[in-house]
Amino acid sequence: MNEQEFIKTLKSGSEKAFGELVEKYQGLVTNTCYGFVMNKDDADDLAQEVFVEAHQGLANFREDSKISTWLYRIAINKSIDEIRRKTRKKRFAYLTSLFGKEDHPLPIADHNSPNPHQQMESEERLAILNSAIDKLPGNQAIAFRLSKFEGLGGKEIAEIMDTSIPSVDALIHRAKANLKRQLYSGYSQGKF
Amino acid sequence: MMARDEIEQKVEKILQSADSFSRYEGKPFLLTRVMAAVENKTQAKPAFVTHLILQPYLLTFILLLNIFSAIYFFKNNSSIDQNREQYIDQLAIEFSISSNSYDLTTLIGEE
Repeated sequence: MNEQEFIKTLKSGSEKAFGELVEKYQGLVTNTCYGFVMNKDDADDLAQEVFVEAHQGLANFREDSKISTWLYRIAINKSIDEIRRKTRKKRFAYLTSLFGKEDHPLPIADHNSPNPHQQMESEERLAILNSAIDKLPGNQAIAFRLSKFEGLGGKEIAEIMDTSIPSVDALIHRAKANLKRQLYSGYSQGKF
Repeated sequence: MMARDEIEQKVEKILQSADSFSRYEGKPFLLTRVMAAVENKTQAKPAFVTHLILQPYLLTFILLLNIFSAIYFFKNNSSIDQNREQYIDQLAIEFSISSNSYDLTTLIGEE
C-alpha cells in the first residue's frame, strides 16, 4: 500500500490503519518532542497529544501532503506550546519562591550507566545548550533542533517549515553563530 | 575570570554535545494510551445546562415567547388606556362636567 492509499484508509476511519500510523511514527514524534522539551516524560505526554490531535484532524488532512511532515508540524507546535507553558510556570515559581520555599529538584545521575559522572556532565552540557537554543529566534531554534536532534536534512526541514533549502541553511548557520555568541558571553560573565 | 581559550573550548564542547544527543523512541503501549484519550475526548459532552440552552429549538422557543409577551403587553396596555378614557367620560357625565368646563371648583361651588 502506498502512502496515498494508506491516507485514504486512515481517513475512512480504520482503527487498524491508525494503529499502524502510531506504531510507524511513534519514534519520530516522541524524539522530535524530546528534542524540544528535553524531558522523557513530557515527550511521552506530548507524543500522545500529537496523535490525539492527528486522529481528530484526519478529516482535514490533504492527501497530497506527507504524513511525516504533517506529524512533525503538529509535534513542533505542541512542543513550542509546552515550552511556553513551562516558561510561564517558571516565572510564576520564581515569584512564589521570593515569598515562600523553593522547590528545585536536583538532577540525579543514572547509576545504571557505565560512567555516571561522565553522563551527568554531558547532560549538564546538553541542558546549557538547550537553554541557549530556547533563547534563539523561533525559526532558528526549530531548524537547529530538527537538524541536530532529529538528524533531518535541509530538504526535509524546508518541507516542514514551508520554506526553501537555502533559507534553512541560513537559519542553521545563524543559529550556530548566535549560540556561540550567547554561550561565550555567558561563560565570560560567569553565568554557567 | 576564565581565559579566552578556555571559554572557547567550553563553548565548543557545549555545541558538540548536540552530536551526543541520544534518540528517545518513547514508552511502549502508546497506541493504547492514545486510543483511550481519543475515546475520552469523544465521550466528553458539554455541561448539561450549556448543552440544553444551546439547542436551536429552545432558542427559537425563547425568542417566540419574547415576541408573544411583547405583543400581549402592548395590546393590554392600549385596552387599559381605552378603559381609563371610558371611566373619565362616565365620571364627567355623573358630575355633569363637560370638556368646556375649565374650573372644576367654581362649577362644584355653584351647585
